[in-house]
Amino acid sequence: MKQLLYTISALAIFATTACRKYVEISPVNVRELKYTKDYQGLLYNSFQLTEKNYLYPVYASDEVWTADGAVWQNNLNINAGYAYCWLPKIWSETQEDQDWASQYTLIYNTNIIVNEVMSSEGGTDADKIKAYSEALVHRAYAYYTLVNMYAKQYDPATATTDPGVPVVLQANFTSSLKRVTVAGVYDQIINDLQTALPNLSPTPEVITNPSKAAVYAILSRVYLNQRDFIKAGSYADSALQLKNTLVDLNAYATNPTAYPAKLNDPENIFSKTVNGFLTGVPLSNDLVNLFDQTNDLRYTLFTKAGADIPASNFTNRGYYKHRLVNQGIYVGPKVPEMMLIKAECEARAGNTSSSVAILNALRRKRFTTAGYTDLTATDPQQALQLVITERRKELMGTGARWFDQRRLQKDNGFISTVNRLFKGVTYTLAPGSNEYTFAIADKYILLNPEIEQNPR
Amino acid sequence: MQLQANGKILPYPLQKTLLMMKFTALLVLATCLQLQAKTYAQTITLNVKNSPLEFVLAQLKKQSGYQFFYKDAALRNAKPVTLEVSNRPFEEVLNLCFKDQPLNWSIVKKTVVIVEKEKDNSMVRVDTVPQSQATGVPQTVSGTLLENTGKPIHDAAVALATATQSDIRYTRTNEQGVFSFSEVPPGSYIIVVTHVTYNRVDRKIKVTNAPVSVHISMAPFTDEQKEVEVVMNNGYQSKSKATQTGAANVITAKEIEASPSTNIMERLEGKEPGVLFDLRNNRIQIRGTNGLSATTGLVAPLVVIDGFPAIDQNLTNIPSASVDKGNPLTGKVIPATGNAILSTINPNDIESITFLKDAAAAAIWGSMAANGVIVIETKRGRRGMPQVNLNTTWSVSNPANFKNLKTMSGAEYIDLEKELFNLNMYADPITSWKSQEVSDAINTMFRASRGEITSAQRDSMLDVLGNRNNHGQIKNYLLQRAVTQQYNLSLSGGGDNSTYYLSGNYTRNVPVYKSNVNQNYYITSNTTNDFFKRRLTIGTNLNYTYAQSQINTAAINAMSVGNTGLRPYEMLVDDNGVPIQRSIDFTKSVTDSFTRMGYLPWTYNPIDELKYNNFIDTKSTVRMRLSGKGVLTDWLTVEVSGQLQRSNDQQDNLQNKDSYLTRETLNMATTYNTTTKKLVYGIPLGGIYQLSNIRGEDYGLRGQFNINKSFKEHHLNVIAGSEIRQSKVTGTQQTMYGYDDDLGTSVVVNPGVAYNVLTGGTNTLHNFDNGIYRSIRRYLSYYGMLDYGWKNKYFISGSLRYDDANIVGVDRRHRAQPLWSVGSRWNVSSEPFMQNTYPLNRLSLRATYGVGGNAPNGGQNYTTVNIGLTDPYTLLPYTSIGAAANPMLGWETTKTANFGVDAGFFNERISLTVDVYKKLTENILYSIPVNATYGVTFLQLNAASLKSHGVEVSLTAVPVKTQNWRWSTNFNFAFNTNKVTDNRFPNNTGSIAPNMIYNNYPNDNVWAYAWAGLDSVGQTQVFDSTGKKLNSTAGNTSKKQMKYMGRSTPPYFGGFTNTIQYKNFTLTARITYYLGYVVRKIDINSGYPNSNGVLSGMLDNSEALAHRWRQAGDEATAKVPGIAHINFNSLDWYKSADFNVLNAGNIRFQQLTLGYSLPQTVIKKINAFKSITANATISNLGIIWRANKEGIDPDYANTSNFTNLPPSVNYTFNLNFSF
Repeated sequence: MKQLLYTISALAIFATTACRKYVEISPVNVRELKYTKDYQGLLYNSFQLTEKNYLYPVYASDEVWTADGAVWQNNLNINAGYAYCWLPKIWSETQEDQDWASQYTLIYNTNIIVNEVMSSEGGTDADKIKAYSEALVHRAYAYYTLVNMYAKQYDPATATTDPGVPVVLQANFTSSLKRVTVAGVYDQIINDLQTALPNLSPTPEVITNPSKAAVYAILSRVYLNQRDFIKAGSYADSALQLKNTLVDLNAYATNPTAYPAKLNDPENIFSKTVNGFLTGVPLSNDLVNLFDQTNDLRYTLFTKAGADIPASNFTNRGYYKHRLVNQGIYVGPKVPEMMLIKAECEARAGNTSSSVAILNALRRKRFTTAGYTDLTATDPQQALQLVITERRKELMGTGARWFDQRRLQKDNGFISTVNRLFKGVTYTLAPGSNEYTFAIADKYILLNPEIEQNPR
Repeated sequence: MQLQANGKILPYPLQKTLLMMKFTALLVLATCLQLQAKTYAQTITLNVKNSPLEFVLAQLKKQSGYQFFYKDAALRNAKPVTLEVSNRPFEEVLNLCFKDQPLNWSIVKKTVVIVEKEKDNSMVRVDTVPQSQATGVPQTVSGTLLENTGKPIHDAAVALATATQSDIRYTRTNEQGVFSFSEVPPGSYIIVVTHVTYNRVDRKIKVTNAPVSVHISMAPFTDEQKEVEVVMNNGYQSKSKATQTGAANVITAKEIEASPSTNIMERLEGKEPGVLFDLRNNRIQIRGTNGLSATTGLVAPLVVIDGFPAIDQNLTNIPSASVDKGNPLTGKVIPATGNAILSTINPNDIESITFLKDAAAAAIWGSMAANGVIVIETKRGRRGMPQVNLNTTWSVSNPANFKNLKTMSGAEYIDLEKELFNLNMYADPITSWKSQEVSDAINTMFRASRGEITSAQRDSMLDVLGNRNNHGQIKNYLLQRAVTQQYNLSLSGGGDNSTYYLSGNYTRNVPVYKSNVNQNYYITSNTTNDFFKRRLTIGTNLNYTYAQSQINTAAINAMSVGNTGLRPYEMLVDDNGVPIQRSIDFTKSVTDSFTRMGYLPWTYNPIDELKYNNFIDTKSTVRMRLSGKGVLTDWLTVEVSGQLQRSNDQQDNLQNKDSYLTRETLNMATTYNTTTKKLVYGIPLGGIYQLSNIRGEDYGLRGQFNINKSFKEHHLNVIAGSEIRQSKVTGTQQTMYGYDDDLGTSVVVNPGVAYNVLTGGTNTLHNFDNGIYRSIRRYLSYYGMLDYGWKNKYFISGSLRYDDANIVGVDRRHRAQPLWSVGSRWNVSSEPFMQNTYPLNRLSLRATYGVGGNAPNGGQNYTTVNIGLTDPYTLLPYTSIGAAANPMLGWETTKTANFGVDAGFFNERISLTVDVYKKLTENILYSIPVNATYGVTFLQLNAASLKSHGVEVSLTAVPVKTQNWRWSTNFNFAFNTNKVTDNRFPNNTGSIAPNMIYNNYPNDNVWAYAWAGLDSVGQTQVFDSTGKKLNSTAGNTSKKQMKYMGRSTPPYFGGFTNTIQYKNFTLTARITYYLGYVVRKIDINSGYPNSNGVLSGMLDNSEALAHRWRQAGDEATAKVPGIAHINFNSLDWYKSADFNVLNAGNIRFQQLTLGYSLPQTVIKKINAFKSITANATISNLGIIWRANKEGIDPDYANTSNFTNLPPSVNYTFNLNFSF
């Protein structure tokens, strides 16, 4: 009897005086970042993280418009309404700026990868370098978006003094958030992209992942904004060498819903989407009137009367391409955009015919076969004008126009004053206006007063 | 570890035998009336030689069926017993056993209570009669024993003792209550009469030269006398309350049964000082919070059932209903199932609930103890005759009164729609077939603007609409009377070496919303078995709970803002009682034409939806506990126990093919093929069935040594042990399409394949279904507790516990921390100088100090990553950052100092307990807002410290106690306040954010803006810090003037309970009070037009909106901002304005219970029962007093929402039969 009890007690003590190893297991589903695939996995989170880009430039651009008093206007979300009217501030001091926050969240994730993945476990060097390089590209893209929304347009003369955006390169929560100059941010972007470039595959495994083609395309955009048209053109060309497939819209003229979805879209180079779901984007009459409304398939397939777009609340023409497959508005670089950059650079270099030739190569896939005619230009300035017009049509509804409006102010005659009537009040956006640069949300300045506000 | 690996559990020792006896004794004291000892052997045969008293008592217990109740300490000086008796009366044998012992005994009901002689001041003793023995002729002493009512008392034990007690004789009363002793020599004697259900009577007599005849009357035993000793259980051991150093109190089954509500929270509210039962939010809080955020801080106390933490830490468990997307583990609570969802514990099975409040009481639970511990013990059998108990409860209440609903009338609502219409907020639905349907009123306005009707016609049509009110129809068709039924059957008893308790319970709860029902089944089996001459006791507890809730939100949706909400003038049925079918997604003519094309019907009516759209939550929990306790020596026992808990929570969201959601989803995915002239279905026809399953698996294993040693006047009690525990959760989710309810079949779909959408474009189902959610928590602990008592006057206690857990990424140095406590107690009334202090009969002082902890659950030392996720488009496995690294992470610790006084007056007619405490919580983990520029918006940091202090007072008195009347009253009061002490939280943010904390203010601070009226366009202005008016569109960063309004949780609260007993009737009234806090009145809902950019369906119809700004000039009187120029700040500032904060103090009449128990005379005639009692309870009697002048019930301040109305009066009837 006693022996039995002693045995039980001994067992009890043995069983529960457990070694510390008992509690040193990782909970399932969550662990500290450890393996290379954990880091790579962060980059595969495209739907929630890496694809998200901007939203408010869409509202602010001059291609979005409805008449005053339209139900769309009256029902507009308060912050979107502020962006639509270029109010000095969009966000109240307790609200997060979704565009700013989404890009910096991506930067935080990429910083973790850039700083840690090379010492992670369980991956080959090639795996690590792949994740490292892809993270650099996403980071560069995020800074590219931020510097073009929240800082003045790059001007070679003042870029080294104009405040850019805070550059955070470490995943910590204490570093200074003082704004780096515009030139500094651009240097950071180019540096990241160039570092990543040699280690990337020419084209991506899935379109949400960076590739050499993506880097060339981003660099092309970067230099276009820096007005380095030679480099911009040359990188556009490099991108096109790796990917140049165009969709012939004639194939979808009768069956628009068969239009390829994001992953299969042959024109996509690097997938980024508008940060939010827009039921409809009402297009300004100026833009709508640019189209050949019978033969331009972009008009017939990608726009619709507001009344035919569900839950759109406006009656004028609206952007519809994103509703064909309902996967959001793509704003990442695509083959047509690269062609347009190349055409623009050719025009700016004085090569009228090659510029127009590129435009026509694109337009051929955009018009009905019966209704197509080549464009012609007599001089580079006319060619440039054609390119800019074609950009408006090809890139409509994506907010790209907002960045063109900023950029093209450096060229005479492209950008004029925009007026908007909203709830009985007229709002004006003149070239050179401070409102071409979004304000940094008050909340961030309250938390970190070293962040300097843009002139209002 | 092998033990755990193959799934076996080691046996767990029960309490040592003595404790067990004490425990069962307590049971006797606590459970309902146990009458008549007639059935037990009343004579004893015993033959012992030098046996320990304990052993002898065990024999006596076995033979008599009586329980013995004593403290271990009491027996330490007992002498061995040598005795040989045969067929002697029980009382006589007792007297023989106790003849030379330093102990007194008395019979209290069916229990022999043993106390030390020098301590025995609470009980009547056999007084020494002066020596006056004379010689003479022996006489007869006889007497009759009657109840005060005149009824004879039979079977009472009568002792006749000589003054020196050298000679004691025994007899029993007969059926007529007559007893007699013959041959009594003259002298002084004392007659002691004892009976199980009557108070003991001592009568001195003198025998001279004539026979003596006495009439003795006895009063039935009453409550306050029997509570000689309260035993409380801290989950690891049972202790006498009289030796306890910590602040702890126990609520017994009897008290729980006294208020027969089906909701355990309702039973307990206002009973325990310092324990806040928030019925509205289903929260329990002990001594305020130790977390920073008033709502999200870790405020919940640990819930322990039968010695192990419960698998479900919610006393009140409400099923969640967020099956539709994302992680099934993070369910949200929906209010559809009403107010009385029971916990996973059958309230009838609860033996006692012990609240451990301060460090010394709770520190044995270490890292889980900082917020207090609630220890629930379930009932066990006791040796003796089987007892059967049948309990039925039925309760009913009406839906809340619509009159309390502060909403706009139909006309006012139409007026709001008119304004919106004039502001051109609506698109004319006829412009496109894709337009959404608008309300009848808006439609009428469009018809007038299109010229189809004249403006006069429009106005008269709107008048007709405006005069309608759908409240009556909602009440008739969507609501019902709430009914709860509860049936409980239990069987308990035990033989020489075993006890058993079996119970079954069925509860059915029908809330006021139709098509909702909740059913619970509970089965419990608790047994103990003794082996090897009681050297080994094996105990088992088996408990199975099955709870099923059917949730249908159609009724709630009909009364809520949104597409399925009913505007005030929208009726449910037409004049002929036919349900009105409304279109939501498209206009009626469009949906009708689709239906003609072969689409599914596309209209909505809430009455139909009651049948088709059901969410069923089925939860079953199994709890198995096995324990073994071995006696190694007379002072050392070892206990091993293991508990296994399994829970399975299955949520079935069956959207029947006829439910609106399914019809809408299918129709939207259906297109018409112009070539084949057929409909093409993108989603298979049939129901949509979402299934999610959450499995919890918990095991715990514990080994523990108990030392219980007395030597001379010292008493030492030590426990030491170690335990491991694992808690594992797995969750899965699946969606099935084309589900056929009859066949149980579904159609396999590829969620990645695009289908054509009716309104154009394509879509994919891209489910978020494919994840398995898992989590594992492991804990390892070593613990010890020491209690030392000297002379039963001075006690000290100490505890030490070391906890370790698998917290990801945290270093052992930070992960595990020793937590400790010390305490002392002085039973002042045991001192010689305190012997003659009438009316004070009991006084003790307690002082404790200790540290409890909270494991750092929220933050991480390293960045963590969530794994096992799949991107819906690329189908690549992705990870995401779970929590950002916090390199400064550490433990939250709470230091508590407690000082307490317990006192009794007038022989316990008045008893008083006062506790004063101070707490300091340090390193509180808090989500600090971080600049989103760093990539996260919140960061878990060990952010601040919180100081709190409080007072708890409990006063119980029995002001009236007569033959037939008894009035007892209990008043308890608690005060608790706290202050954040960390200068990292200066009060200079200048704007109100939810859950913000500020240095030097309580964590549940409520701030408001200094309201500065509306501006000329009807938008809110507030004063800035310099006193200037701030415009809502200024968008500047200047600081606003912020006014501190008070706290959101009541600092003063408690209960006041009065019980009046007249014969067999008992009337109990309970009043609760909550004072000194504020509440924000929410009179504008989220559906305020245009606040979120969407205008569809039913809008906010708060009454306040009827008083909104409409035109210039209104700002002189209006407070609610106008619609035309509304903006975020304006609405936000209005909601946070100072005038919207109310003093929330209130006193409520919570419960009135009338109980009746059938008199014994009647029971006897029925013969089948031991007792029959009936109770009728009225609860939610409403507010008696409120501090605010607006007549708003502060706990239900959102007055425009039906789900937020104060519950209406509830009537409960309860019947209890004992066999």
